[in-house]
Amino acid sequence: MFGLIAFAVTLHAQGRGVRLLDTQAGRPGRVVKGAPYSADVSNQTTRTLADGNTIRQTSSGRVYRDSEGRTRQEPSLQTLGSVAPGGNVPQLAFIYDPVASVSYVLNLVTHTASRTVWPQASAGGPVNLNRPARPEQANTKRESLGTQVMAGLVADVTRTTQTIPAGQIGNSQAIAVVSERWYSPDLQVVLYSKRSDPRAGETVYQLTNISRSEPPAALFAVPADFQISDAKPRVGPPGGPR
Amino acid sequence: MTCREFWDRMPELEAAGQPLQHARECPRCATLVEQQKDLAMGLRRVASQRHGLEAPARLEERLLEAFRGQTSAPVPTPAIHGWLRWPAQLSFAAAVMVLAVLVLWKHPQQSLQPVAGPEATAIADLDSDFIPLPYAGEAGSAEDGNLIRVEMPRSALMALGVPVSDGEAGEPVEAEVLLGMGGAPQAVRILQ
Repeated sequence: MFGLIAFAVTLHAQGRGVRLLDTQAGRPGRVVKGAPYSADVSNQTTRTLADGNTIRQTSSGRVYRDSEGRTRQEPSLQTLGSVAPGGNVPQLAFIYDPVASVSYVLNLVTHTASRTVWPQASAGGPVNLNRPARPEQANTKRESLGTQVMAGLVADVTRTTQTIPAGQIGNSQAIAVVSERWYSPDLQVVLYSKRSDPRAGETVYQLTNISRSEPPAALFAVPADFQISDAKPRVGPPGGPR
Repeated sequence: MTCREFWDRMPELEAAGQPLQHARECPRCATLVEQQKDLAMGLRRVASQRHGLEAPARLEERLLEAFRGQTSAPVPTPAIHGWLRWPAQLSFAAAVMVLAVLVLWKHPQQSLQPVAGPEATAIADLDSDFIPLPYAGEAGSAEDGNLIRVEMPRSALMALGVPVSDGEAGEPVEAEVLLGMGGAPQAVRILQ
């Protein structure tokens, strides 16, 4: 419910573009300490239509994490993942600080920030690493492809294949949805993933230009010239009950 | 045996497989026993149909958070007489079942359909009003749950994979978009 969101910006795009109304940073479910990094992140989805036409959508941004587990995301929202060519969503930065248990959304154009203070009880709390593994879904095969090195980092590579049996969704033949995931135990992030679904195309996610040095502390703070407003923490799913 | 004695001893009688003599003599209790059997059977059926599903990864955390927020002071629990316990539990279970049926009826696929892979599981963690986008990518993205609310032409929804009729393509629509890392839309909820 966006009545809970105090921060509101309104930028009118030209023509049939996208108009940003509100923003709210979520709270990451997991805090990773002692593994700082920064990287460029990219997503690319390619769909090939029956007539040979292709649809390619891309998005990119930059991510940072410091040794205390603070994170900053700077997604490029200009065209909202290429789905809104006339879009004009301003540059935003999402900061989450588990130490102070607070998150910010910075509007880098208007120099405004929305601050959300989260309950201290569980924010930044210990990560439950003993969570039982999820049971395998029916018709899902998960296999380890061993370890590989990407950008100087060791990655555990897994491949998951989900098979939709013939007839289940009206399909005349079985459909295989294949996902490959390169996970860095050191950084505790996914370095690369590729998901191939005959119905939706191929989606590739990748971190590049990875640096393991400590990012500047200023990246995780609100600049002095920003006007800060407070927002109530979201309870439950994003948006909350309506 | 009185009704009270019957319901007090009901678990033992049932566990021992003893004939429920009182229920044969008391129409009211007989009806309640039958309802209880039907309810138990229905719950088992629902449980078997939903076998393999699990609570979203962050649900426990959210529940604990909400619980902590609600329980700063201990809440006294009203005592329930033993002989009323079974009918009370029956009523409660029935209410839960009705609620579950309503939820399943309202969101037959989006919220409870088994989903494949960590990406989809993470997205399924969302409010069921959100529509996971068919090409939503990396898992870690959905965990962060950064949201933007935007007004966009309905034609943009088509690009997101959401069906839009031709006549509506040019109309504006207000929607919430869940962003993944890098700003890739992961799920969308249409507000109007």
